[in-house]
Amino acid sequence: MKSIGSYIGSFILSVLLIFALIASLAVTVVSIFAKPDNIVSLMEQENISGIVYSELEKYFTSRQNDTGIPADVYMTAIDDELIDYVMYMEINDGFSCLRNGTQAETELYSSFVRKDNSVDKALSDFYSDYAESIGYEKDAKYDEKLSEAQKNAEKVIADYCDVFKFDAMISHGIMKKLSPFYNKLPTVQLIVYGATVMLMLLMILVNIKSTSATLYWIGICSLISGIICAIPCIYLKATDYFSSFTIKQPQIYTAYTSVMTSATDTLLKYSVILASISIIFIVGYVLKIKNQGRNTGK
Amino acid sequence: MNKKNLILHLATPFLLASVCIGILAVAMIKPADKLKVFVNIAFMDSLKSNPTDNNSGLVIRDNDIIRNYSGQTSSEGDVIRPAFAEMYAVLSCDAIGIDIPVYWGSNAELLEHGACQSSSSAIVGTEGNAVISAHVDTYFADLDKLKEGDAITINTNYGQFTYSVRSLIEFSGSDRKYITPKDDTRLTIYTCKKDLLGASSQRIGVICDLKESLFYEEVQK
Repeated sequence: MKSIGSYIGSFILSVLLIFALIASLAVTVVSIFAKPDNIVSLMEQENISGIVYSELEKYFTSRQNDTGIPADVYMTAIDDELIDYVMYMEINDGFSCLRNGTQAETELYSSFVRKDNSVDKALSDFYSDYAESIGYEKDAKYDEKLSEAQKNAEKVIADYCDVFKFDAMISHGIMKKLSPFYNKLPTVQLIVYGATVMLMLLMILVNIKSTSATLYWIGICSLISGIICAIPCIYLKATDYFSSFTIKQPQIYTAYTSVMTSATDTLLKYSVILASISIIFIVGYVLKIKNQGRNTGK
Repeated sequence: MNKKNLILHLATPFLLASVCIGILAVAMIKPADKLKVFVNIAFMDSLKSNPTDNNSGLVIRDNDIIRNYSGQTSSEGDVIRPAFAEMYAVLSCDAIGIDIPVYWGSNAELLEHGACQSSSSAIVGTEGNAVISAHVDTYFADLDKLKEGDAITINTNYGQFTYSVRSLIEFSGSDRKYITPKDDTRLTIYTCKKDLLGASSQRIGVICDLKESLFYEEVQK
């Protein structure tokens, strides 16, 4: 280190650069999981639709003695494609509400019916066959009971496909509170990345008389920020922390734990990459010092 | 590089790390305090059970219930408190030809196995209102055929209890007046009123008076 002044200046800048790098890693990971498409493809990887199908089957089976409608009536009409579609709509609705701060007038149910009214048709056919078998004339009460069964089926399917419980978050005003933060995310990203670059440039300026020292300072900043981010990730993975998630409804549990686990893995991956890059900087610095020493005969 | 410089180069990262971790720790005190409650609530399953495992779920216990006790009996005695999802009685009624298991506690899964007694109601053999329900599509299909005076017998492993139908009832699913605790000793049995498919909002049932209690003395010892 050439002078005490540049050391202190570099030290202070390093503290700021470490926090800027940690913030950069954090906003990068948050921005990845703040995209609905990424969440949807993660749900596809975890086969959430299979879990939802299984839970819907359990529900309709448990209700069949109450309603007199066999579970098969519903389950032969519900398939993975329908579940994926409704789940995709629920996730998009949730993020749309995050963006707008209010629940948009969605056409979820009417789209659901228009796209695939197989459940409504299955119920209609079943009711019709049952009424004929008992000689029941299709009156206003018949229409009312059929309509009630169809609406209830749509409601149940949508509820089970809402694996992140966005509807509950919307009704409790949580999405409205999170909306300002969500909308500021791109700005925050720009600020954080900009600050990181600025600090690195300042570091070069402070060490203008010994550019090799910049390699050292940026190297150790990357190493320290990588380690600070990696340690909590390693702790969470080693203790299997997310398995203690309180909500045990299978599709909700799987949805939330897979997002948390994936985010932790992503942060750990980027921390390791950052720490590895630091080694390049530090090795570069050591080689430069050795070269300088050779040139000056020391 | 001289020795002094080398020491400085090696010590600096540790110094930097200490300063940064110290600042982080101090900065996180207040937010951590606020978040602690929410995090503890969100992650409070200390057993870390995975709900997608096949071995998780309700354990239903079926028991052999004494039917033809020939020993000494008495009109007073103690009951054996059952566990949730335990089969603790058999309900039989010659008038409608039923002989069905009764489970302690009530949920969708148990109702598939037999009649269920509300765990907040009085255990059969004690004072109060014993409330038993079952599906109209299965076990209580003929409940609407019961008449005043029909006999209903409940066999348990601590005694046999005979009831007589006092009155027929019909009430809304949201009306709890017949299924809440009562001062007198009675048996209330109910099911859904048959409707054209779909869930019914009405319930039908009977209220029965206790006519005879026979506690098994050998079990009481």
